[in-house]
Amino acid sequence: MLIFLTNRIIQSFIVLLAMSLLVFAAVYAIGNPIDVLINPEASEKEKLKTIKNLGLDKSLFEQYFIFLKNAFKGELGYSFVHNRPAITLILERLPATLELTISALLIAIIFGIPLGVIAGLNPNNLVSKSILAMSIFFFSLPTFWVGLILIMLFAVSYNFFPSTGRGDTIEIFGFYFSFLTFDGLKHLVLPSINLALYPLALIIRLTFAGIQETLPLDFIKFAKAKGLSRFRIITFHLLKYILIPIVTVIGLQFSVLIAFAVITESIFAWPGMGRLIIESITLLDRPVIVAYLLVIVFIFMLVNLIVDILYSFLDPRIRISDK
Amino acid sequence: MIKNIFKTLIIFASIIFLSKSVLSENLTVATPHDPSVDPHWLYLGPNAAYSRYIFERLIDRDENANIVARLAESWENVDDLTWKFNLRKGVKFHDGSDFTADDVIFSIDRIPNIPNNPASYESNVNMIESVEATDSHTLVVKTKNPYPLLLRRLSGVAIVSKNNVEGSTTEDFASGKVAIGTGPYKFNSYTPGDNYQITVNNNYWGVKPDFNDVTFKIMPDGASRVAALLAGDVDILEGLSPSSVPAVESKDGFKVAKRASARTLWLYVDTQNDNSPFVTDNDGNAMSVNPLKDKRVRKALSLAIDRDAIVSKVMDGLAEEANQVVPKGFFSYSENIPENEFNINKAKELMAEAGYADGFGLTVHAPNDRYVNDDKIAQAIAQMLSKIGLKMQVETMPKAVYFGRLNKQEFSLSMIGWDNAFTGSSLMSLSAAFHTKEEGYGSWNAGGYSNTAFDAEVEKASAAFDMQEYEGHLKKAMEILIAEDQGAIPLHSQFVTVGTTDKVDYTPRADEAFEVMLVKKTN
Amino acid sequence: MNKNNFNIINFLKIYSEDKLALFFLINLIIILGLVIFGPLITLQNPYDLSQLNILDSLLPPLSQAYENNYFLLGTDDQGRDLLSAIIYGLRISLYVGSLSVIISLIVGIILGVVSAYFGGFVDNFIMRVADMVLAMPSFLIALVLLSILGRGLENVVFALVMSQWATFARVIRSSALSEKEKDYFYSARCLCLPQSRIIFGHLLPNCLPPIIVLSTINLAFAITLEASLSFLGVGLPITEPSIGLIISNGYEYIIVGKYWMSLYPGLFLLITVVSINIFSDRLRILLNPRLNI
Repeated sequence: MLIFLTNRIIQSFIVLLAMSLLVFAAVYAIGNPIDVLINPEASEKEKLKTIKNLGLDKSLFEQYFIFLKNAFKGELGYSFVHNRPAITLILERLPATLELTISALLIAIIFGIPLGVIAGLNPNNLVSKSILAMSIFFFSLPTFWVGLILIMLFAVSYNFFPSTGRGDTIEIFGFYFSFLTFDGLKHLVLPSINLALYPLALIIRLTFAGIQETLPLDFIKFAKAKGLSRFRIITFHLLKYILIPIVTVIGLQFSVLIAFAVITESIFAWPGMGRLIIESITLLDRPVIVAYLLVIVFIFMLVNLIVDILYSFLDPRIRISDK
Repeated sequence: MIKNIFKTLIIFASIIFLSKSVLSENLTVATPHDPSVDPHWLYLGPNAAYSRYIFERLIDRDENANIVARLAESWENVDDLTWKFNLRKGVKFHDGSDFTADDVIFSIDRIPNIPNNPASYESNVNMIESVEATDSHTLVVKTKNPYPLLLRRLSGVAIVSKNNVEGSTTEDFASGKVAIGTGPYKFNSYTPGDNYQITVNNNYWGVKPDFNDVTFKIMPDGASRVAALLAGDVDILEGLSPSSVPAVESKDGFKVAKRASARTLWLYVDTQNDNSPFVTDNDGNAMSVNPLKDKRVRKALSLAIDRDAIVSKVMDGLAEEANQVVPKGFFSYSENIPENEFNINKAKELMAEAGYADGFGLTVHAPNDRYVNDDKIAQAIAQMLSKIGLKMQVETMPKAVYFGRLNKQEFSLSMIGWDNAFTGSSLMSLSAAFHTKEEGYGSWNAGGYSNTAFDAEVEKASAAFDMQEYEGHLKKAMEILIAEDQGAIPLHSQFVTVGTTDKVDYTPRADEAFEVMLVKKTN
Repeated sequence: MNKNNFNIINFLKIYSEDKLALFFLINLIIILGLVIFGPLITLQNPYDLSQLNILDSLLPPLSQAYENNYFLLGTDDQGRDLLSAIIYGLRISLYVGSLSVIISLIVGIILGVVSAYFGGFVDNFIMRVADMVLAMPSFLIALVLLSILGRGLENVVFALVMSQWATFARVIRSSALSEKEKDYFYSARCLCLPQSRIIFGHLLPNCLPPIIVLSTINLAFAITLEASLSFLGVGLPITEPSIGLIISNGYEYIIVGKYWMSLYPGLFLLITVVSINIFSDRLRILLNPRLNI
């Protein structure tokens, strides 16, 4: 187990390194930040001076090397736009995005698994068919469209929820969270529903498929024969068996959701990382783009590692080998 | 029964969730822009606008692009190179310290010396040779060359407090530690990407603004800003798209403030390259000659564009046709340039005369997130040009990519919109966008336009102290550029539109900048 | 897996059991017909700029045009007949979506199975690369790629493939891993069958059902992602709007009551995607009622 962990961490480190090079090269290829940021009236001389100040006159390779050197010191560059460390900017906004992503994922799990189980146990009744039809429907809706409709319906027409923004926050360990205040919670409802639709549909379908597959298996029949209660069979036997693909998908979905949050955040004016990255792309704020992507890669590798460890608990047949 | 319970629940929910902002001394603004609190960091339009609240300039521009005295009470032109400013006495910074000439000198020195500033305010001070304080409230400024536009340049120089700012960084501004100016508002709090709050300065020397506490909610998406306004979450909305104007106007309790801005949109035409990058023959092959170098072809392009349709259909009437690169009636607008003509037959004749009766392939380039409806305008233009036989394509891109490529002259026909309010004349657009590329000129000449007679007029205008002479040269230059050469194809001037509740009144600025001090309580 | 019961009659039998599904099957056939024969029946070619007139823009459904035509579903902000634009847009969206899924699928199957089968270094390498791709938000991959490559059909397909193949590879690997632990796999190995036969003859067919479900999901996802890319201002050329771009164009008009520009294309998109999903759902039931994912 320990060797497995060390291996994975070393691998992850290599991935981060490769990733940083790729991202750096790709981001370098888009435009020249000076052209966007600099005042159109600036003289050629002024432009050259600025380019030099920012180190943009050096070759890509040199720039990357300087970046790496700083990265080992824990600095991922200074934002061109905000003149503050890129990593600080991102970490400031991380809690908002995590809050949104996790609540969306929770909504998806809390509603998705029971709905999937209901549909899976009696696939032919009307309720189940409606659940499945609904899940297909959720897949097909474009996020930004749903977002606007949600705002139109619940904020403009009926004023149940605030239209946009994050609401009051509470500081915990230096980070600000909004889900602990009533106002914050109200702001959280619409964006997290918007973001939850896609994973909800996915989880319903996966659970449904899992149940369908498992029901005819022998161990369920034995359990029934043993006279175990229906509830016990579902919770202890069925769910445990179908949980593996669901855990994978939840793991995968976590990073997908952080990405999709980009759209949700910009429609609901949610001050998370997603909005930061969109702004940084339009302003070509390279240090922030690179740092953002690396932070995402890091988060994702962490989640992946946790998923792999969970695997071994859920399904002892898949062992984590110490090779 | 169940229905009744449901109804009661809805009513309860509405009571609990109804949290309209109560308008009294507070104002909530929905804005697409994240501010820079440091007034010398990152010279972008919105940042310069934000810096007006906490900081002031010696001289500023009012909503009509006229010069107004702020921290300088009066000034005189000692000679062509020397200016003397008498500073306002008794002005105090937010921390109670006195405003003196030293703060001005410090601010002018600070601007070019902020490390790694990608867009410096330097262009507003780099013509200054020296600044000296003859006493605590008198300042003598010498310029390197005769520089009639100095006063307008100084409207882009915010004055910070020397005692506080010396030795501190941009981050100290963002945290509010040194965000100390003389302006009508004081820094309150700033949460990047979410909101920015300012509070009234009770010791302000000038007119006190109507609102004590102002919160800017940062919302980049246009439709959600509108929704926030209509839901009552904000009192005023910056950056309202023309298509949303009816939605706001038609709803009870809301209105829209609008005015023509000093920004004019035009098309650059590649008049320089022999192989223009986006000109092809009808089969899509590169051409050995550039038809756009032919004046008749450029005239035909202008004749084929139905500006009236653009204004009424694409801009919902919220724009004004332009026949030159400044808006109608603006200082330095030339009456000698004929009105635009929309005449497809005449355009076709000119094309035939030039030898392109069958047309050729052309791509129009435009940004899609910079000007009001920029991408839609580009498509409408392509439609119109295809009616005279051109094989048109449209390519739009985010401004982040667009302006870099534009500046490298990578396009054949490309859109730009220029704000003329800063200089209050056509000088900056003519000298930067059409003067032959050389030191101090033509830094944005993306069409490669070059004409010695035009250049001479522009150079004379930039050194003229006499206003009449100044305007005369600018008009002459504009006539050469448009009437004679059709070196650019003017389109229209866009409107500034700001949505508000009917509890406030707003007067938009000609330079499109938003300003809280112009928001008034309705009587 | 029993391939013998795969024939049209069985397939229709499964469909006919469910009226709703049958309804969507008919829809799917109609849509495919429209998509294939669209250019023959539409009022105009919405991609030909010279056939458009800006003066026709923003007309509500059933209005008469500037030049004597009737616009059944109204027009968009450039004066395109919305119905023609929807049919052409669906063509492009379906083409982009299916092409990107097919390519991602091929790439994903090869890498996923190879990864699960060989394990060790190969597995590690492929999965780490997949992690890298998955770790990048799809938009970001697409946005960065399209910013470099520019708009265009091939570029969008390429960007979609780059952001999708890894999902296939990972899920296929994890189901292949479970398969690997099952008895038939050991038997095949004990019989010393050649590796390619084990992979393609045994391992792969047993992973197929999850692949089909995943492809379904991904086709819908590809079309939605393309719409989202258009929303952000990259993607297909604006003069040749896909169904996603048409919805995006209408997005800002919802609030002013010009609903048709986003409502109708949205409905067409929904029906198409739902029909495709139901289609492959039935296909799945037919292929293997005991689904393993």
